[in-house]
Amino acid sequence: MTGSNEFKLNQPPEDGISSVKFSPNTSQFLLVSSWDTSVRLYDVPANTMRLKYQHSGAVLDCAFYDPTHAWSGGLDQQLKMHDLNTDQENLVGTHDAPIRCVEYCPEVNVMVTGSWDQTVKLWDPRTPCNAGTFSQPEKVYTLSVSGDRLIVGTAGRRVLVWDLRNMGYVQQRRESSLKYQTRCIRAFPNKQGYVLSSIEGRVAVEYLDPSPEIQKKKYAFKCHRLKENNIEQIYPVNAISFHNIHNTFATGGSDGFVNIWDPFNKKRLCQFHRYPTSIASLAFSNDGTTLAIASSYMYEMDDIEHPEDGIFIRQVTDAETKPKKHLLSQYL
Amino acid sequence: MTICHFFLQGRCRFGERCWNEHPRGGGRSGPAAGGWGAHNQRYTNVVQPSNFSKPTAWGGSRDDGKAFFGPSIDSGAPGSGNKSSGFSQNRFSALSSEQNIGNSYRDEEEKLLEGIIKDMEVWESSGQWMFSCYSPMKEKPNISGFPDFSPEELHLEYYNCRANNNIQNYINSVQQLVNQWRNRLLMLKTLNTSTKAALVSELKNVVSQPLPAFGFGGQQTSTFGSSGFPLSSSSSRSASSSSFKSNTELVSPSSGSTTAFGSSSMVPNPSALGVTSSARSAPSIGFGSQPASSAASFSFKKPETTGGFGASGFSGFGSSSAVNLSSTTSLPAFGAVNAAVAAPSSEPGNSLFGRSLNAFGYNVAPAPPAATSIVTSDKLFTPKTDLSPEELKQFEAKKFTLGKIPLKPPPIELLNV
Repeated sequence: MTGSNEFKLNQPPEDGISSVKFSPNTSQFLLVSSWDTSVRLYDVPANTMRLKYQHSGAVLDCAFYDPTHAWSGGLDQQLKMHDLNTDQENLVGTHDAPIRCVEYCPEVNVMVTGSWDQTVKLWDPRTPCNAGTFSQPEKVYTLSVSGDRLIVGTAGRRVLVWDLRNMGYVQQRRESSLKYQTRCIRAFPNKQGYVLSSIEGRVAVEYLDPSPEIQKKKYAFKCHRLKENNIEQIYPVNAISFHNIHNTFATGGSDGFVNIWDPFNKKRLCQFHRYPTSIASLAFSNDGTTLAIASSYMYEMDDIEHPEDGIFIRQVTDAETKPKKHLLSQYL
Repeated sequence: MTICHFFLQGRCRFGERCWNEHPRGGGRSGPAAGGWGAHNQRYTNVVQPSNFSKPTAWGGSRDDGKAFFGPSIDSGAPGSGNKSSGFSQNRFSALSSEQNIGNSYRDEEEKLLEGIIKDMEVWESSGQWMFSCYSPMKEKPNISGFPDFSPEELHLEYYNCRANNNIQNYINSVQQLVNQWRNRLLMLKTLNTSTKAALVSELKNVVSQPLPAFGFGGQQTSTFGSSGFPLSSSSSRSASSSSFKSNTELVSPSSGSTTAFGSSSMVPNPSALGVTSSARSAPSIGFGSQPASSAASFSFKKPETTGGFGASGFSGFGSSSAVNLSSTTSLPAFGAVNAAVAAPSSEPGNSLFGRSLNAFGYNVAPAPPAATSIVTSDKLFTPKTDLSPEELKQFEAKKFTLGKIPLKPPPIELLNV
């Protein structure tokens, strides 16, 4: 099924995969966090696992601070930093409930974590230590960094935009334009806005600039829905990842499909073959040449027999990821 | 007047100016190039200007994916859907064709309710994730009775139960949640008058409804605790406070006090509290939920206006224990709230404490608040003696320092109302 441009990673995690992230400066290394409580580092071209370290509970998210340091957090509520060269581990801090998201902001040089304890915490990666705790109105489900801003998606369909340099107040309080639970938010590399997906097979493209002319441009579309027996089955869109250069994005849903979208022309560029099971996470490499696809059953329907979880590495081409017409006027 | 037979074919060039009669509700076959502008492909019913009723702002059409979100795209298709040409008639065209213009005047609410019914039907049949909040339309609040759980949270519960060899428990709890969801869904699908009234008032942010019967409490973020994941607390979390933290909105299932809450007079208009946040936020146990975090900063959590637990009480508490950082809440405002909140009854205060204590140990029966032999109003302030010197210093300072904001409410002596 996999073509020559795609292969499956060896030694995958032994349980569900929660997150995949590429190293910031190379497409060679991929960090993978999993429900088997491990965080693994893979050498992608060589298709080997280089390193593995453990948490005491399932790991829900991981992120690179720099090419040699990985941060991860999960159900054990602990935020760990791991030096990938020396294999040294460091317990940086904790939350009061499972940590759901871990991200890095290069512009402000902070690590950000979001948790089900309804807070977002900032961490100084150099010391490393806690640089502040900030209450959110609800459990944090997803977050994304855009320049020096932080976009947080919580339960109850709330979206908050924070200025990382001034966390004294929330810069923008919004509501998701979608009617159902937010699943994932990712910011545009061009920092103009963000993409939000819900459990209802829908994705919304939103802009950060609050002025009405810009806000008029926002829109939403349906995706990851399949018609079976004439009834439409609706799947959550679990993962979004942006192509850094083209500003196009890929979405992965529980239907097992990955689509690539052009937000400016509002077209779908490409759909890959169906993967064995739900897509849990997606990551484009920094240069946009490679896409890591974590196909991992997410227990949407309890414990049933499900195909094996796996991570697929796919080389993507411009044809699949580049917008068709270069309508510069549509880029803000 | 003679009936314009071009109009009957859907292609009258003169439109409104036409000297012949354009019968309402009649004559639609696929118009090709219409007199009303070539882009108006789906223009069907014409409206005699005199009948021109509700123009714009008809949210929530049936065509849920399109008119709702503006230009929407289907996978691969060029941007189709309603082009909002500014013609109000466009909205009409989005409606089902059977609709007679005569009946076309509809309350926005009715449209909303229709939209809700449709959404419920789709939700049920599509295998969509059940444990999600729901709002019928942009800028409308979430409808109560649909708590938000992400798949990972359920997965976590499953793992905890599996670790304790208690999968049955998990299955039961999920089943219970599913049943509650289904009930709520049915309620909304078969809108009888009482549900309708409740919904309408909810959507207008007016609090009048009693708690829904099935005891989930109509809270957006009520959690597992109530539906019986008791094991999770002991197994995975170390401190009970941290487990509590992850289940802040603990809905005490059986307590009769809930109804007392639900129907007690709700919070005086939240805006009176001078907080600049948007519509509403879920209630939080402002007190109990942050004991473990040290020097945490809080944002003011406004109570859920839709029949949340002791919403009034919460607002008082919330503001007492924290200062909103964004904030326009100043202590005088707090003082004012205090008066308003203390007014309804002493019930909220005492039982709230009972609740927060309750939440520390999961299924503890709501005990009479042991620690709270004091009168209500005292819970909104701490006696000076109870404060540590650090906290006292903070209260006495002109402004709170980030990271050092005390968790206890301020002492009454320091308030300048």
